[in-house]
Amino acid sequence: MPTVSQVFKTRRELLQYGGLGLAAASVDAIWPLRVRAAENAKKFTPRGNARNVIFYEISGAISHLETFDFKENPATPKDFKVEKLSTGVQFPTNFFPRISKIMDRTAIVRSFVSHEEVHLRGQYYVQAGRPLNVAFAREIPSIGSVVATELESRRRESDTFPTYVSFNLETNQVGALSTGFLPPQFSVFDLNPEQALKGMSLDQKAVELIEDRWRVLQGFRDLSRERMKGFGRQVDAFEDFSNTAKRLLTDPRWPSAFKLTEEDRRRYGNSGPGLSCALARNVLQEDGGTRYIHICQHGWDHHRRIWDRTTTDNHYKLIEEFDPALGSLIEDLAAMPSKTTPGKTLLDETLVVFMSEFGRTPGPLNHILGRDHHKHVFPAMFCGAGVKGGVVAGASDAEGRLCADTGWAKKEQPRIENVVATIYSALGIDWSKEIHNTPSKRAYVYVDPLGANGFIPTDDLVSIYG
Amino acid sequence: MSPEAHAALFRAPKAANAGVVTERVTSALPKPGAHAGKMARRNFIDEQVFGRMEREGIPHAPLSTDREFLRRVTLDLTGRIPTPVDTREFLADTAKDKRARLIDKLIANPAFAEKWAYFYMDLVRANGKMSRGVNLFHLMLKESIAADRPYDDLARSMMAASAKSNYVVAAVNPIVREHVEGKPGENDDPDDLRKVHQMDTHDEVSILFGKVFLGVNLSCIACHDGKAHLEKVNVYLSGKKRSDFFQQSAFMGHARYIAHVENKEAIMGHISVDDVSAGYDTKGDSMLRIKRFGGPTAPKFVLTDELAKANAEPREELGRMMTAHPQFARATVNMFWAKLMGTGIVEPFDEFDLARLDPKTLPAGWDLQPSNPELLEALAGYFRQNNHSLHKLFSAICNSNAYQLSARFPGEWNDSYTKYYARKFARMLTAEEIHDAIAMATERPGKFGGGAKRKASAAVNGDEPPVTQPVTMAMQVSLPRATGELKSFLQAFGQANRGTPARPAQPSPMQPIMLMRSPVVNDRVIAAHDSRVQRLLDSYKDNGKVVDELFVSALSREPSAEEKALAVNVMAKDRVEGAQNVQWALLNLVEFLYNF
Repeated sequence: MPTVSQVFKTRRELLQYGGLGLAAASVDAIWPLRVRAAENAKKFTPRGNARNVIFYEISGAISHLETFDFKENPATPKDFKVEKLSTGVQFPTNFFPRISKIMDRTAIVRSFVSHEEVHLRGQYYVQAGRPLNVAFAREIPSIGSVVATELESRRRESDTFPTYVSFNLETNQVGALSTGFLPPQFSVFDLNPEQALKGMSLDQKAVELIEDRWRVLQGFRDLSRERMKGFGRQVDAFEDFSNTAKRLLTDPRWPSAFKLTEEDRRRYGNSGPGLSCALARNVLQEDGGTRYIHICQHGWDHHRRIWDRTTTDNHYKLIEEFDPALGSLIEDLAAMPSKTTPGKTLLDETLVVFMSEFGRTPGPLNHILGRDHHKHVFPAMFCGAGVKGGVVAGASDAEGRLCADTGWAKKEQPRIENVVATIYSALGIDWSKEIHNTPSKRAYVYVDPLGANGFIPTDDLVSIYG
Repeated sequence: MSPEAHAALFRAPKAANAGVVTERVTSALPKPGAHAGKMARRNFIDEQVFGRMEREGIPHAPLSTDREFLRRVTLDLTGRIPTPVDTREFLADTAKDKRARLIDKLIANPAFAEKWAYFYMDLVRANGKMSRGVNLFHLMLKESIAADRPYDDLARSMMAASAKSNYVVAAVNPIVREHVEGKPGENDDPDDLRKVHQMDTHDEVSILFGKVFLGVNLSCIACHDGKAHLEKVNVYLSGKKRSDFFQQSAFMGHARYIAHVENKEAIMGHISVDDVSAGYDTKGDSMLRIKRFGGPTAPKFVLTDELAKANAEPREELGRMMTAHPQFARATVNMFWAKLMGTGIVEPFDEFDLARLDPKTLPAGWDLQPSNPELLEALAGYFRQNNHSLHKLFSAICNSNAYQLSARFPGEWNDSYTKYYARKFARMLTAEEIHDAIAMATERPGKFGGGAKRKASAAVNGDEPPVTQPVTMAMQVSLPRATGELKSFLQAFGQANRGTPARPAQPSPMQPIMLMRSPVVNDRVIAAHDSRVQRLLDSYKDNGKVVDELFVSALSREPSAEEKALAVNVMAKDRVEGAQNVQWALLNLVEFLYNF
């Protein structure tokens, strides 16, 4: 059986109907990509400290003021028990019992600024690593797809899992982005965790049924080879995808990744985020080829009645899902041995990032008892893969409204672009790359120094490593 | 029906609207068809397509078989696969005009209006930003398409509509869709214009109209001049300035968008649109783009520099100028040609470069953008001459031998043949088509709501009109609202989320995984009450007959002797499970999933 990579090394023409139009003459020129490193390439040396990345998107924008950049304010709920953690950070520990325990493994950068202040654009920015430019959006890939492309050469013969997996990405406003100008083989494999638990954890009987049916299917295919000749490449290509899919479904590691114990459900929480995190752990533990996982927890858009427990998706409820999910994930990764490096844990080789697309307005609550969008300062958290726990870089002002300290040797506040650079760097990807022969002929720059309002630094965030 | 009679069904075009040609691009193109060839010409399209191939010595595929044609055209026009009855009737018909009659029959089928209304909903990304107006807009599209309302008239209505509520006036919904939410403020004044960002909404609407009605992407010059930006991207737009965009957007400048307020909260998809604003403010702030820098504010059409008449409503002027411009017909025919033929004459269909349409004025170093400029002009001319009738356009394309070529190319295919349309291009069915095809092949319809009696007031409020028929097909809905496994299935096959940006449908391993394990397929092949499998098992003792029917219902053809023997052999072990497995395998074949 060929691997995914083998199939597609010989099927680069797949690109030709990868959304760019069957006849777009320019697509022939795109693959293999004519990659030209920027002249300042030597400025950046990728760290290569991570095999895997988990990006946890706190989608809809969590209030930084009541969480990772805690500020005592007139609206601080009375039932918050705020304590100083061993790392020196003020934190409402009674509502984050599990995350409180992993804060000593976590670095916080509290000085982020976003280009965007509306969700759709903000969430696009997080997934694509650049602000939405509708003129070119159709050719812009997601970060995960770029990672999948870059890591293709590292895939092993035995790898059957998709490189880029996501959970509940379709629940946010922008949905799962396409691979843009990259071939469709690098697309996201987005899973709804509840469905995946039922649908992917095939038992022996289900696998046998697939094998039975597959024999019938192969029989029909063999008999219609002659009939199906001459229709072009698509026919072969779809059969390749089909073979890839069958190989995945019948790899015992795949169904095994989609089994959870009652204990898992109790610890992680029987929620979207809980199941997503537990499955992310399993997928990495199986080591079947998945390297980049994007988890989305949507619903944090608390314009109204943020502390009202009777509203759906109020802040308390979302914390109760978020805290055990992420806390258990970090705990478990830290307890699981690496399959490749003796003495190391899975967390040692996995960079975990959790953040929102922006923050929320500081001070008193608004007239409908919520907090609105606030892009001027908000935090991002990092864990694993050599990140120094307890680091707090950058600071907001007393109210949490504006940046007081950028947290690095630059006067500009860090942005999503710098998170992307950090991810690429950790995975050993040269993030100064540019791709010049896109369909529009406009260069695709891995980390684009041209922000929405002028040039921005494209460095990775070294401060998180202490 | 004559074009005149057709137009009279609606309203006669105003004198001002009648075909003012403000630009001539291709008058100097060479006359086609100098060399008559072997392929019969069924209409002007064939003159262009085969004339050119014969002149340049390009080989092409033979004509499709009746079966290929039946399945292809049924899917292309209605998004459905033919039923076994359709298939047998058509194959048994010996009349010479049976293909033309089939095309007429399909265009008259309600599924035609459903498919193309759905396409249009995707095109304008109709979604929750229209709130309940989305249903009303969908209804208007279905009715307009079924009745063949002239497309220019439909377009003008969308550009000029005003309404106290988009729940009541359907045509205003594309504008409402593009509203840009202002920053949520502390002001709960119901008349607070800041709830909708007025200036940014003008711009978004202008970009939408440029894309849909002109096939021109104005979003680049919405931020900056084309100069020093677009020289390598779009020659025409590289000569346009941001101030040209401002003046284009100024047609919307008097429009005013007010969000309705219920319980002190703005309902962002419930918006009133009128025309009493002061006009476009070229220094107004922007949430989406770099700062506006001032400049002229008079509405000026970006393609012709024609100014709006002082005493006319600017949005009506916009509709007049847009639909009278040759690019309107050109963009429209190209878009539908792309959908029916698999690839546009200009590709992508919303990225026209107007400086690269005419060989006489082609800038040095560039190729012509249209793969066949004469064909593009001929189609656009036909569309205009026929009162912008979509029915006639679809009919002309489907009746051409160019459309009716086989997807199978004998001999070595060369990619350079693509631009000649030397074959029909196989395409994967859309997500909705795949769902509906599975539902039809298995006789297990979907459940998309409906079926219950609604309050009469619901129709007034823009909810789905009272329905007696349940919605069973994925392409009948106004808005994709599926949940759970069905949602995942449709998304895997590229169902549009109608957000931003539009996502191309991409093949992926998730698709065969869905086909192998999703209940959308697996539950339907089970020999349950009312399923095709069960009905066939009950009706026929002969397994061979069951196999025949499974093939005809899924693939619109009978099995070959070998296929039949294989399937009968599978059923011999376990009749029920065997039949289920055979149907499952048929639904997993490329032959089922692609339109050839």
